[in-house]
Amino acid sequence: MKSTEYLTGEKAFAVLMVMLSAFLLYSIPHETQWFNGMSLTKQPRFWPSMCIIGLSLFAFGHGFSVWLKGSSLDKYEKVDVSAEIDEIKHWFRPIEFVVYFLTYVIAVPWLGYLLATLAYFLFMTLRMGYRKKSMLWISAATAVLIVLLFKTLLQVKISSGAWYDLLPDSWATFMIINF
Amino acid sequence: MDVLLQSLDIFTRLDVWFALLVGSIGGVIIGAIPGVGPAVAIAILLPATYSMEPIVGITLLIGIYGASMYGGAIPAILINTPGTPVNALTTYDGYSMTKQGRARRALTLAYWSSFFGGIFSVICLMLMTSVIAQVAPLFGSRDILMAAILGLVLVIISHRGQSLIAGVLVFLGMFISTIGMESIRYTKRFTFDQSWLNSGMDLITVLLGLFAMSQAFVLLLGNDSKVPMPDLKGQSKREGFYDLMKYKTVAVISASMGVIMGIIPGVGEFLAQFFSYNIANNISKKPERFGHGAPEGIIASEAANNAVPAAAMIPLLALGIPGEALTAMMLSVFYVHSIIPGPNLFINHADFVYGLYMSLFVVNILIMMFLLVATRPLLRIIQIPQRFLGVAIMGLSFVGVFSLRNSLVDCMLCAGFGVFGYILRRLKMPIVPIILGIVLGNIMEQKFRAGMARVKDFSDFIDRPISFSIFVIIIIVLVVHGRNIWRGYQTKQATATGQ
Repeated sequence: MKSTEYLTGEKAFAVLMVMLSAFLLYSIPHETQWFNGMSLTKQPRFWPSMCIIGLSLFAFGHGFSVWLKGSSLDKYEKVDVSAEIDEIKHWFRPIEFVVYFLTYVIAVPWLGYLLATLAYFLFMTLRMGYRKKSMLWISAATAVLIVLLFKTLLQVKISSGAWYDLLPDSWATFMIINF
Repeated sequence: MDVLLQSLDIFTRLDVWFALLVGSIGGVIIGAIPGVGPAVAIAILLPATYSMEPIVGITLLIGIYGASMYGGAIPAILINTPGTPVNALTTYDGYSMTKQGRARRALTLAYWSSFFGGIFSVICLMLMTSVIAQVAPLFGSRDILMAAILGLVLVIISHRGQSLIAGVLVFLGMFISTIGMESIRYTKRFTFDQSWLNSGMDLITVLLGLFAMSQAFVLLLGNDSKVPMPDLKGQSKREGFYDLMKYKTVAVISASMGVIMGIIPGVGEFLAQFFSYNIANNISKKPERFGHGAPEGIIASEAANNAVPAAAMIPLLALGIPGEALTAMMLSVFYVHSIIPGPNLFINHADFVYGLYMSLFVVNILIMMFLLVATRPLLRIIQIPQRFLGVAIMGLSFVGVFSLRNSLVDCMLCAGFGVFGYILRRLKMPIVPIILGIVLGNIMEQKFRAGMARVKDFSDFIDRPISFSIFVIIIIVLVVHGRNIWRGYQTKQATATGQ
C-alpha cells in the first residue's frame, strides 16, 4: 500500500487528473442547472460541484506531491522524458484487446452467443500464442462451458443470433432459449 | 426464537444449498488462482444473481467472498504468490515454511486459522445482532451521512503513502455517481448532451471495467511463468491444527482485530492483518522467527483476514454503508430485490438477516471440508497459464456487462474503464476508492438531501449525539493522520540532515 518512490508515468497521470478536474470545473455551469430563489444546498448543481471541487483539490495536491517526488531524485535518477513517453505508449497497449472485445460484442447478436464465444476463445487462444491442439480443445471446452453455465443454466439475458431465424421454428426456439 | 427457527427454513431449500456449495467451492478455486480474486468473480456473477432470490444470490456472493481468502493462502504458501491481495502477509511465513519442507503444515495451519477467524466473526455477528437491531434504528439521515463521510475519510487515509491519489479517486467516483438525471428536479448533470448518459453510469459496468477488464489486460500483456510445485507427500495434516491450539491467544487476538476492522467502514482486511501481525510479533517469545516461518505469523494474517467478511456485513446490513468494494457490490443485489439495508432491515426482514448469518456459518464448514480433501487437485488449478486466464476473464466480463441491457455502449464504457484500471494497476494505484466513491457518494447525496429538510445550517448536522460522536471520531482520525504525516516528514528531514 505504501508508495514513496517515483514510478515512471506518475507525472503524466497527475497532469491528466489535473486537466480532467480543470475541464470538469469549467463544465459545471454548462452541465448543471441553477434555479433562482432555491437555496444553495438544494440546487442540482451543489453536489456535483462539491465532488469536482474535492477532486480538483486532491488532483492539485497529488500533482504537487508527484512533482516534489520527481524533483527530489538525484541527477542520475532524474525523470527520463523518453521513459515517460514509453510508459504512456504502454497505456495504449490494451486497445488491441478492446478491439477484439468489441468485435466479440458486435458479433454476438449476429452469430449467437455460442458461436461468437467459440470464435472469440479460439481466436484469442491463437493470438496469445498457444498452438498445441490440447490448448485449443481446452479453449473450446471453456467457451462451451461458459455458454452452458450462463445462458442455458442461469438464463442470463443475452440477445440471440440473427441467423437463428433461418432455422425451423422448433430449432429456432431451442437455440434462442439455450444458446 | 421464532425468527431464528424461521431462518433455519432456508436450509431446507435445494437452491440455497446449491448456492452455498458453488459459492464456497468456487470461491476457494477463484482464490487459489493468482490473478482472478473475489472482486473479479463477484463483478462477473453480479448480474446473474439479480434473477435469483435475494438469499440465494447473496449466499452465493458471500460464499465466494469468504472462501476466496482460504484459497488465496494456497499459492501464497506454495509459490510465494498471494492468490488474493489480502493474502500477501501469509507469504512471509508461509513460503518460508515451504522452503523449510513444512508446506503441508503451513497449509493446514492457514486453513484452520482461516476457519477459526471465519467462525469467530460469525459468532460475534450473531451475538451482536440484538445490540445492532436496537442501535441501528437510532441512526437518522444525518448520522448515516456522517458514517459515510467517516468511511470515505478512512478509505483515503488507510492508503498510506497514497492518500492524495486515493482522495482523487474517491472524489472521481463520487463525481461519476452524479452523472445523469437527478431525482429531485429531473435535470441532467454532466451528460454532455449524450442520451446514453441520461441514466448515469451503471455501477456494474464501472466495476467490471475497473476490476475484471483491467485484470484481463494485465494478464494478456504479461507472460506465462511456470513455477515448480512443492511436494506435499508424506507430510502430516494434523500439525497445523496443533499449532493453532498452541497459539490460541494469537488466534483470538487476530480474529478480534478482524472483527473490529471489518465493522469500521473503509478499513478492511489489510489493516486487520497488519495490526494483528504486529501484535503477534510483539507478544511472541521468539519474535525473530517472524518472516522466517513463524506459525504465529500465518495465524495472525489468516485469522484476521477471514474474520473480516462477516464483520463487514454489520455496517452494510445495519446502516446500508459498504465498507469495501465487495460489500459495495453486494449492496446492488439488495437494491435490485427491494431489500433496503439499513436500520429497518432488522425489523422488516429479520428472518433474512438470520438466514444470512447461518449461511456464513455453513459456508465456513463447507470450505474447510472441501480444503481438507481437495488441496492436491487445487495445485493443478494454480498452474493455469496466466494469458489464457486473461482470455477467459475478458470473455466472462462480456456476460456480466452485456447481460445488463444488451448494450454496446455499456461494453465500450466497460472497456474504457478497463483501460483506466489498467493504467492504475501499472502505476500501483488503488482501484477500490473509485468504487466506494460511487457507492458512498450516492448514499451521501441522498442522506444530505434528506437531512437538509431538518436543518437550518450546517452545524445542525452534528447536533444529534450519534452524528456528533462520529464527527468527533472524524476529527480525531484526521488529527492523528496529520500528526503521523508530520512525524514522517520530520524523520525524513532528520535522516537527510544526518547524511
